[in-house]
Amino acid sequence: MAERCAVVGVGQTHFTKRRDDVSMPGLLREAVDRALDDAELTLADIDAVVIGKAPDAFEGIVQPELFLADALGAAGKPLMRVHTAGSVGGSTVLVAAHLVQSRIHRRVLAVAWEKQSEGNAQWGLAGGRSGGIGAGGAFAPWIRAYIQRSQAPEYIGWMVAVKDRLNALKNPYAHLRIADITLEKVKESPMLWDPLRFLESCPSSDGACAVVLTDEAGGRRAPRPPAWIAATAMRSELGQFPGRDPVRPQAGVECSADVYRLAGITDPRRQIDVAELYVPFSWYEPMWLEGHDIAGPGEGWKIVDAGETEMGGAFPVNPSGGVLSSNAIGASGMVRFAEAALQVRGLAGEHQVDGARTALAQAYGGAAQYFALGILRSDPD
Amino acid sequence: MSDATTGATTTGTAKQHLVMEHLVSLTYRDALPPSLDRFVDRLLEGHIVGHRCPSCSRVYVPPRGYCPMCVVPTAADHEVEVSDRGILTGFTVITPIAYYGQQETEPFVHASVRLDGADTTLVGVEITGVPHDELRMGLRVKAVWKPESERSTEGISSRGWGGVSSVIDSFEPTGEPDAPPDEYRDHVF
Ligand SMILES: [Zn+2]
Repeated sequence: MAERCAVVGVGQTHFTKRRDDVSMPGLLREAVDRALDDAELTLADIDAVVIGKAPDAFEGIVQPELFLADALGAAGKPLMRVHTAGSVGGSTVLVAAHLVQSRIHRRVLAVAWEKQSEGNAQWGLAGGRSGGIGAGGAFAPWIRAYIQRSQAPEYIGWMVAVKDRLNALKNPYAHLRIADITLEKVKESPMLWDPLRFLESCPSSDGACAVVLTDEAGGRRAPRPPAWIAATAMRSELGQFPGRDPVRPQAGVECSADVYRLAGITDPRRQIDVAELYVPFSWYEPMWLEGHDIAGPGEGWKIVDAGETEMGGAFPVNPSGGVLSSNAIGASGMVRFAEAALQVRGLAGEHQVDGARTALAQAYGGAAQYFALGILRSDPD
Repeated sequence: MSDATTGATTTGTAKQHLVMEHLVSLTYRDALPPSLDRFVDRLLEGHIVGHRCPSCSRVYVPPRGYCPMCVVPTAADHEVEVSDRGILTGFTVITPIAYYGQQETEPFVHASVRLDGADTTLVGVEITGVPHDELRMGLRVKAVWKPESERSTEGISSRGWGGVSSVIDSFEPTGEPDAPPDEYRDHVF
């Protein structure tokens, strides 16, 4: 049997447009120190470090792990970098968890970040060429296909955009703070990647996230309630092949089926109390509700429409404000896991979902082809 | 990279002493595999070829030299020619963002087209001859070829998807009736 793994420390920087006051190592160290403080541990207690960020072209620094080893306290320790595009922050947590579950290490520090102000993600995504389509341009055709298939009304996307920005007002770390956001404001914001509007899209942020994971003994003696990792799953598929459905990718369907099975979940919509899903564009909320079998095909938007994914709803999604409110790309996947952990630890503060004991964390990346999912619980069993 | 002095960058507004602009230019020589090399030769002549998988019969355009579904190699004797007409299977209209090096200024179409006879799509093609608000999945389109003297291999890459814009300017409506959803539903990308 695998070793039990617990999240005992969570740290985030404030997400913002640009952090000129710190270097990249300084930014990371801020998140790391907060995670260690939460766990009441020091770098000396850490056995290994796992890190994740988006492709190097985004900041123009190749293999930053080499110069970051000191700042991460990794000198003389195993340091591993994970690469799974936008899902990398989630995959990084899972790799760190696997190192504990397989008893290779007892205490692992996982760190993910992006300092997007030091580069240009649009340019990076375009391979440095003009006419780059950006992430929105890649996903917009599939969002159009979803809307056409599901017959969802246009305002569903606006609803998610409003909900996540209102949630963000309760999260001190969130980047966007649009207190006066309304459906009307979203509707009237510029069309960037038809059918995606400006306010239906994520910002570009600087920020970092860190998580401390320990074995069962570490979880049991943690100073604050731990989050137990009940199940993890990763899947990927080719970005393009004949018959591929990028709207509801098979890798995502199989990834969630696996993580539910491992966690003993048969009815995710009832048995999961809160979900942090990777929603960089508003429509991805209903799309992942369907893509991970929380709702049946064509039913995801109806759950949104009924208000079930709001803070007080039956299935709250992204109480943190989500990727729509803070997007330091490499960190975004890890923040889903960190926020899920805070929820089941009861430490989410103003955006705490009452009584949350089982949380789903999800990250996706590439051409909606890489998936990292986890179920986190208040109880070890 | 274009002129470094134009400063059309989102990173240039910080205090001078905090930021060092560090611009890097890398030029790659991209060796094409034999299947793509042959595809380009035929494309310059006005023909579009692919490989038909000997195991599952799927037709890949451009040819990849293998079928990723069956994991079998394909080669010259699996070559088939496909039509320069097809179906618009997915699209977005992009309003360009003024990032560093951006030269696009007007909204442009980013579409996927499944050519008749192919099981894959050409991705990132422009659609012309139809107002943007009349674009729709299922629209029947045909290639608008550049004059032979203007065709080049610029933009053809073994690391991209399709990239035929230096030979085919765009696709435009054929005027035929739209294709039904089951002909494009599985080819959104
Ligand atoms: Zn085949």
